[in-house]
Amino acid sequence: MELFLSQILNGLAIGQVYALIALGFSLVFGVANIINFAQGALFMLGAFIAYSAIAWFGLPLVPAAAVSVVIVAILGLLLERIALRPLIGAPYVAPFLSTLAISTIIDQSAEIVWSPESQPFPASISSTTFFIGNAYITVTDLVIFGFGAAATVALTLFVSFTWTGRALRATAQDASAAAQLGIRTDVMRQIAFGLAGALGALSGILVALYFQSVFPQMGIPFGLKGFAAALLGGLASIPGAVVGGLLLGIGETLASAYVGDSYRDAIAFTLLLLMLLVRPNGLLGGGRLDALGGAGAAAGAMPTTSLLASSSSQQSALRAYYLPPWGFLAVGAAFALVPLVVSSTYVLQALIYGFIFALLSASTSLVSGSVGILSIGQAAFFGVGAYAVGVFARPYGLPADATLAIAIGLTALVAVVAAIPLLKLTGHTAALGTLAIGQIGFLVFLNWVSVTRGPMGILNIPHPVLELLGGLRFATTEQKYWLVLGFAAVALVIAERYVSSPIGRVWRAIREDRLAALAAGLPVRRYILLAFAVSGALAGLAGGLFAYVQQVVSPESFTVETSILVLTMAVLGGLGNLTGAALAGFALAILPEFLRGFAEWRMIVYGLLLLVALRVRPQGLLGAR
Amino acid sequence: MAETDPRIVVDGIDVHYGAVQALFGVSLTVGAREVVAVLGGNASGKSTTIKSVLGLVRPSRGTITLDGAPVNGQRPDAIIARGVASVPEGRRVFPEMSVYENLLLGAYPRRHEAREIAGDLERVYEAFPRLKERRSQLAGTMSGGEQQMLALARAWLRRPTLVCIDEPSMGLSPRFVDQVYEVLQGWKAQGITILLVEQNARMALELADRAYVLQHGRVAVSGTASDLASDPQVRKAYLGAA
Ligand SMILES: Nc1ncnc2c1ncn2[C@@H]1O[C@H](COP(=O)(O)OP(=O)(O)OP(=O)(O)O)[C@@H](O)[C@H]1O
Ligand SMILES: [Mg+2]
Repeated sequence: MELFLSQILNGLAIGQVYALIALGFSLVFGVANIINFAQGALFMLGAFIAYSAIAWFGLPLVPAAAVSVVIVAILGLLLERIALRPLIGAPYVAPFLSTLAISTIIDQSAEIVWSPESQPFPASISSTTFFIGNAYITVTDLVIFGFGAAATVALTLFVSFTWTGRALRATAQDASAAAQLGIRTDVMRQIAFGLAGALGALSGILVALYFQSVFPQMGIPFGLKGFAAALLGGLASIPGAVVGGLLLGIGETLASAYVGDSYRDAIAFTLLLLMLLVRPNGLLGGGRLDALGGAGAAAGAMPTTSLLASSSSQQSALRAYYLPPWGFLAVGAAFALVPLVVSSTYVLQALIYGFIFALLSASTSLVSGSVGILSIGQAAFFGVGAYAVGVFARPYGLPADATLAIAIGLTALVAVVAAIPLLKLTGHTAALGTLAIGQIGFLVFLNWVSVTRGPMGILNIPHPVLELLGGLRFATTEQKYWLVLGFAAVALVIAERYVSSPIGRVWRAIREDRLAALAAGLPVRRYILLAFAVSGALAGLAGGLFAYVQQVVSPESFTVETSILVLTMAVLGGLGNLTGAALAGFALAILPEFLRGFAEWRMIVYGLLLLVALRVRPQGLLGAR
Repeated sequence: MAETDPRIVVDGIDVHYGAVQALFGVSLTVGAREVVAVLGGNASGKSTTIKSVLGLVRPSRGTITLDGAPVNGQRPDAIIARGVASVPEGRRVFPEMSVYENLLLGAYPRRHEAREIAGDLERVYEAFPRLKERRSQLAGTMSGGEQQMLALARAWLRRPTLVCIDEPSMGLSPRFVDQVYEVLQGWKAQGITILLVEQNARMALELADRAYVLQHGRVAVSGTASDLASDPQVRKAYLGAA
């Protein structure tokens, strides 16, 4: 019982921090109708700038924190300016992807500046412990809770009783009406982003104090938790964000106490998914998420579920270029000749990765583009396929036909189950749901040691043998090249046939207007699940082939970075356009192989590419379909 | 026609929404202290005209001048800052704010005049006892008629010299329509210039000095309110006369 109470107190402290992150999401969502994926990056920067101010410049904690809050607030303003302002009137998918690109760039730059390792936070608050009855709480917890609560109260007072605050709320409720009262809605957007930056920095510093460490990858998990808290509370309400944050904090603290600390995050994300499944509008929320635009929808802010449409009616239908299904076989046949002229294993190896990522990118394009559920969790499916081969190939001595079949089937199944919580969601919210799926996948790979061998990974995966071809063994690089190429070409033919068939048309109808699809009596859920099954199958195959090529499977191949990378490929190719996705996947995968020595800049380059593409050609290279 | 310089001059504007053209060379003027009505059926371009004046949409051709200065391409806040208030189509009160806060936001452009605003609030409450009763109720929970009153009062708190009003009688019962027009008569008497968009031609022509009739994005007829009210074609099309 004492433990239980102590955990609750402890959970309140961290929950208050989640509430602050959630408030950042809510403010921006309310005012700009955007889910700011970079909120986590701002949070991480807040922690690191405070860290540097203390460790490098010897500032005491409080001024260091103040400096960090100011700097990150300014960065929030810049974010709006650079990543979002130019995209007004662009397709709905663009602002979200833009914040995703920025977040990737910031995260990777942080790894370059501060090294990718976790570092102890150089300041702490006294670790004195208080007893309340038999339950205990540390001074750190109290301070964190106090600061978090004070910031929340200050924010509430600000938005309730100042002219700027009222104008902010007015803009959130109806931007067009606010503009007609003389409110500068563009400035309100900026203020929202600035405040989100300040809240992000403050929460980052509090988290650093709480866990006594900082690491450049902290943005995504904590950003996701803040989003979960915001969603619990209904996404656009301040009290909701606070309640959501506290509940999440208590929930995960209890879970980590009674189930195990390594499951802390997995449980938080599972809660998020359950929440999406049961109450997608949040505990306190109204119907806001349905339109993802609230009152703003009345002003034409986000009228459909289509991510590819835009609010400016200026979009003319852009042409999409794509191969017919058999075209993939033709291209595959041409590529099959390469080993006859090129003998460099290095080049062949690069091409193999190109094929695998072409497949993976196509699988992402299928859900993200054709059905319009932006997937930032594709790496989890990729991983399931890879681990299926890793687990079954050696101990059970199964041939590749069997293991790959298992990889495909199992991944399709996992993808379908994972999609269930997403069925009611559209737009940016669905995207964050897929991110949670990706994170859960990674955490399972990392922590389910008895099956995945945890961080060590599964080593010495044998060379693939195809029993169906009379026990043909693929041992050399050339042989593996043909194996991967063959599977990739055939899989793409099948996928393209789906996309070009009446089923593909229904997918696109669902993407364009889910309500209309439902009203027309289409079994929308079944079609979405089917899309996930096909996408999962493709990703599973890619994963299985990847395992055979690498001969090693370990969790770091399946991080959110991989997911973001393949989503970038799919967007660059043109969402929903498998030819484009395959081409972009292939090109982006082999590109770094020829640019060795810039490994750590890779994600930055991809992020910049994505940013530029969104501005110059949001429909992708070959055109979205 | 007003003797003094006109407040608004719209000169030959075209407005496009993507590929759709909504206005074709529309011209109109609103003189000082004049009430001008813009009439027309659904989708004739009435709202687009008023939105152009407010800077919410940008004409692709033609000019708009406000008090002699061109306002093409200016942001709505810049136009509002010149003494203009707007009563938007569909009222557009802030649903999750109290009546009091909605009213207060009407005074946003002159937010630094705290004392005057407090006095004006009192006057609004006197004129609209209903709003006083409900001042802490969320605006979104009020009836359509009450919301229209709120939208009018909110615009008045701007202390405007010129008001743009888009279909204030939309969806209201006759009793509320009468109330709305009583308020507008009061504004006219105070010397406020009004640009009024209406489908309810009968009420609008009673209030207005002059009117324009839009058809398919073009001005079809214009003239004084009394001329239009007796024009057989207008009577047939918009006043329900046989
Ligand atoms: N945001 C928009 N995007 C595309 N087309 C628009 C948009 N707003 C208006 N239109 C089109 O412009 C034309 C004129 O619309 P407008 O709203 O000005 O008509 P209205 O006369 O106010 O009609 P109503 O009486 O129904 O309010 C219509 O054909 C309408 O479909
Ligand atoms: Mg209209």
